[in-house]
Amino acid sequence: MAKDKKTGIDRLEEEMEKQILETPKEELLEEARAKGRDPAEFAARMRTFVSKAKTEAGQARRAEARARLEQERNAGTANVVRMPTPEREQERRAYKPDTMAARHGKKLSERDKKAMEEDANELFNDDAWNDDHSDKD
Amino acid sequence: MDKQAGVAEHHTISEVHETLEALDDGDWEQLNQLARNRCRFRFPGREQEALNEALLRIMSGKRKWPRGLAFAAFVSGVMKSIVSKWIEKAAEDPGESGDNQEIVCERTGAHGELFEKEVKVHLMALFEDDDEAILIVEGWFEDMEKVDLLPLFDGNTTKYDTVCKRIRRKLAKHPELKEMIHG
Repeated sequence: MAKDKKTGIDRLEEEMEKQILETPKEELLEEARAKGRDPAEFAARMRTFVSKAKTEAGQARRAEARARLEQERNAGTANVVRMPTPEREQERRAYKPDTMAARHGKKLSERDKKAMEEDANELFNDDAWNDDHSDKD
Repeated sequence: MDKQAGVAEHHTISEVHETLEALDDGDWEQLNQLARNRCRFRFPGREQEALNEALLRIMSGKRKWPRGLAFAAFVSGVMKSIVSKWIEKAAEDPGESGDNQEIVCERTGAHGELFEKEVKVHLMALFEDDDEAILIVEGWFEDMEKVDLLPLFDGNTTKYDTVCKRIRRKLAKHPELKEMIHG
């Protein structure tokens, strides 16, 4: 039978399909009962099948999605991007003390460290400040 | 057609599930008869398998339901495609189909025409007391469509449809037709 040519059976099936689609459902049910079949039992069986298939189809889709993501991740094409680092964190990482060594990209020399310590001691030395002046102001 | 347009043209999986859950006994009986129609001649006894397979394909999203098409008509189309694949598969590997090889060859291979003739003979026997039904069935087996057959009924569409309805009811009443053909 040629694949692209309709056969007599094909035409018969098509016409019967139209008929079945156009026939009122109540009539189809009556015909089934008249033949001794139980349409309610068939419907109940199909509902069980659909309920089970729905769960399985959902699981299959999730498994497929997971497998695809894993595959993309392994291939380095996963659509996962790193979130931008907050601005303050970037500033913290970029901070360099303003010393001669830092400016030259070197470690602090002993002399620089000593100078920084002296500056800090001076900064927190209460006696170094003139209280009278500050009160007057 | 871009992807976005494609999405809009088909029902979503959720809509498919909602539709299936809402089917009543009459809807299921209609699907049952559509499955029997697809399998009656070429794969008798496999109608439940055809229906189940069609529903699985639809529910998994492998077959998308076009908007504007009745659900039952869509399921019937999917079953038609499934049965076509069975025919192709049986032709390639008759042992796999689980059917008698002679039957497979008849309906799929070089003997397809012979099988058609055999089906026609049995249909003629079934409708021997109904000349109008024989006229229509013979017409279908002679490459004629409804438009070609209507003049035989004085262009009366109602009359034509009434005879088609008789054919459907009689075919549905006679599941033994498969035994008549396949022995």
